[in-house]
Amino acid sequence: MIAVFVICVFGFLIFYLWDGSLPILKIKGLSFFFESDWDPNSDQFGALPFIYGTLLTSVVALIISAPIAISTAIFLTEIASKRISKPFGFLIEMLSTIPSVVYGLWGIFVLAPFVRDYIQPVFTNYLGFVPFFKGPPFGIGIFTAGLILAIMILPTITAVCREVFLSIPVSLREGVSALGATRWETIKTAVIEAGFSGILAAVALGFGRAMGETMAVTMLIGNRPDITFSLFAPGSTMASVIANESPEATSALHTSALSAIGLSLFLVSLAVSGLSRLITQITKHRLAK
Amino acid sequence: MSRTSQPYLLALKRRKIKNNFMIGLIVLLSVLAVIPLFMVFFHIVRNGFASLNFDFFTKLPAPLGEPNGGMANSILGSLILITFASLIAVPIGVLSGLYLSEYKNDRLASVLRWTVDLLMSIPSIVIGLFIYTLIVLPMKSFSALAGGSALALLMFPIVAKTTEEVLKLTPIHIREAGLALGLSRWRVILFVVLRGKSSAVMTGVVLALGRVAGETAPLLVTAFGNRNWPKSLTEPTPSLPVQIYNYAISPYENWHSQAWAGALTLVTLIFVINIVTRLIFSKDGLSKSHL
Amino acid sequence: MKHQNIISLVHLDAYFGDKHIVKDVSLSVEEKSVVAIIGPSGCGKSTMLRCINRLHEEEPSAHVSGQILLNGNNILQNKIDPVEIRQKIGMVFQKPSAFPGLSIIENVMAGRLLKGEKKSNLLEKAELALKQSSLWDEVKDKLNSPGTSLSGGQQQRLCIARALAVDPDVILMDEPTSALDPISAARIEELILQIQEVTTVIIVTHNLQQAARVSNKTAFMNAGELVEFNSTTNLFTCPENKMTEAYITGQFS
Repeated sequence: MIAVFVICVFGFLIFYLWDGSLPILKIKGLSFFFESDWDPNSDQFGALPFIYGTLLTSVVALIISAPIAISTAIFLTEIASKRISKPFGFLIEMLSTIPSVVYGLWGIFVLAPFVRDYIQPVFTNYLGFVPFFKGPPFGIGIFTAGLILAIMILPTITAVCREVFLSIPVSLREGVSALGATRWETIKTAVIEAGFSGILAAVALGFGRAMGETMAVTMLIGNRPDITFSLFAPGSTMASVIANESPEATSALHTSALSAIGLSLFLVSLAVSGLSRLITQITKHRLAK
Repeated sequence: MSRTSQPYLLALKRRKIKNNFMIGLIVLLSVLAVIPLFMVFFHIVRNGFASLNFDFFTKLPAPLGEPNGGMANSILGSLILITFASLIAVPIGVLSGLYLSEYKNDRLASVLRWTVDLLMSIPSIVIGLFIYTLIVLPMKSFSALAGGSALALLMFPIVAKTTEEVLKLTPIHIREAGLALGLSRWRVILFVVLRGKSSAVMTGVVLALGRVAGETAPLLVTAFGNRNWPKSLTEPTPSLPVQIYNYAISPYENWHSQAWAGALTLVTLIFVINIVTRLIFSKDGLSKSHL
Repeated sequence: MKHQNIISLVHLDAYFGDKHIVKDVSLSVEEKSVVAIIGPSGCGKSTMLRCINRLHEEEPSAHVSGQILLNGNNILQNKIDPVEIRQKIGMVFQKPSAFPGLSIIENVMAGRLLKGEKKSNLLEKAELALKQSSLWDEVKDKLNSPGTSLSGGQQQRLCIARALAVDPDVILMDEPTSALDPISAARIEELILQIQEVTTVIIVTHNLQQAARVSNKTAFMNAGELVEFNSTTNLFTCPENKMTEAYITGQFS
């Protein structure tokens, strides 16, 4: 009986989002997702800037976070002794319990100045000729938002990779080692290559989470509904525009546009986490054989 | 290549160098991973401590421009919202988890499990948006009702999942012993299975609380915020995370330091919840394992 | 009229899906006796035992035909609720199953306590049951400790006390000592002989010596069929069936 209730509530959720999105979609159809004008005051709604922002920040986060997360997982399962890996793993887990808004706070007052004073100048001086790396020296923008996202999704990717690595039978590592491989070569073959699809799943999961993150991103991205092909320019994401503009939506159409963005965010993150779970299942199957 | 030939030894040396390099890189990157944690912690403690005083916990926000004032109303607001959310999410979540662990093969159970998993992966802002269109718009006002409902929706899947996992750990022979004693199935579920794992279930609930205590985005669009004491469930309600947000993005120094104090409070609370429950749960798991 | 046979199986067949586990078994158990059921692994003895208190119904693909008479009434009828039957037919399992989350005394009372009866009303009965299970002396000072804090052998006696506390007509025991050390096992065997005065016991065991020690009559099953059912002395000293003889002399297990 309760099951039915829960399913009903969920059904409601989908329905409302869909229903809310309908008005805007009726007017503009799928082009809503490909236009980049966003001006609520003149009823202009194009969602592309936000899709761009979400994708770019998530990709930046992934590029920064994935190698570190995978390395950490390797470190924890293959290199560190039990005495180190337990507290280390615990610390990483604690990272994941810090609320988004606190990361945002730290981001504004510590990370952004850091980026502005130490990282951005490096890019401007050495790679400034590339437009992608140009940008006003505020410290706020896509890069910083991506950086904080990287920190936030790190525990997730690490945890899943750890699980994957732990499920690889010891015999595989021993087999490779016995052939005379060095430590790194053993890791490369028996762990990374064997667990590759699992690593992909972890990364996909992290990507999904990065896309859905709201607060820290909102606080560090500058909230400009523009598409600028620069890493250091301000931007906006799907999640942040919903958080920023919903309370003060100017018209029913505005709300509808935000609903449409919400619905698509939901669908995309669903697809990504579903994909990653699929990959994990397949990996587990293959290893079990 | 023979084991002692020149090319072999040279290749070996190269492999060894590469090995040391890669291992070193891995360790370096791993250390890099915990640096943010220490940095964040360090800054929170340093900046937060400075503005943490008795006033912070007891006073309302001061009018613009005036120094001091506190976040007492936000703390109270958060408590109200979390309590409201728990009252909804815990019973429904525990019962759902019970249902899922008992009737694992039913079609209905599979659909429910699928729904719970789906709910878990929805970004919290989307849940906030849903409640916004469902409750805030018709009511034409932000409210604790809306905020609490959003938090309940976030808590529910966690409680349901952990309850299911924990109850599944009950060995079959305990359940059968209950049935064999002449107890009806629902009695066995409630009084034998659930009672046996009650502290583990509680742990799941508390962990869900910890997760939800820091949620900001959904509250921004449902409970919104308030510079006064929360007086009723149908008006905009302040909460700690939202207040931290508002102060952080403001241009006032004074408010910035209050935001740090708020962050310190919030993070300490969440850390304590997580550490304590992990300690209890592992003790529980250990003591039950000899059965 | 007092029924001499408290339990009778009449042409009992049991299936799990397509597998025919129990084949046309008929036997009768006298009141206040101990009947042992022996046989090689997989012969269907546990399944048959679980049919008696309809615990087989926990497995969705299980179905039975035939009759099981408790005091003359066929308890396999659909209209009879298994919950009622289990109040007259108790069961003790192979793994000691004290209920976690309940104290020792609460465990003993569980049959009635968990139905809402007041603890104070059940104390006397619980004490009696613990005395009947030879556990009272060992736990009387720690009645409120968790049931799971007892050792395996003690827990098993607790489970027997728990079963006794609801005054059943029959107690079924499914290999009750195979998870215990020899000393605890011996105590349980003593106990079975004692509780024979208040209730009937049907015990499934793969331990032939145990069967010989505790039971009045023994049933030997093989591949789902009841091969021989006779007084224990006769079955073990001069079995009528060649297969029985082969089994008890250890030629197969």
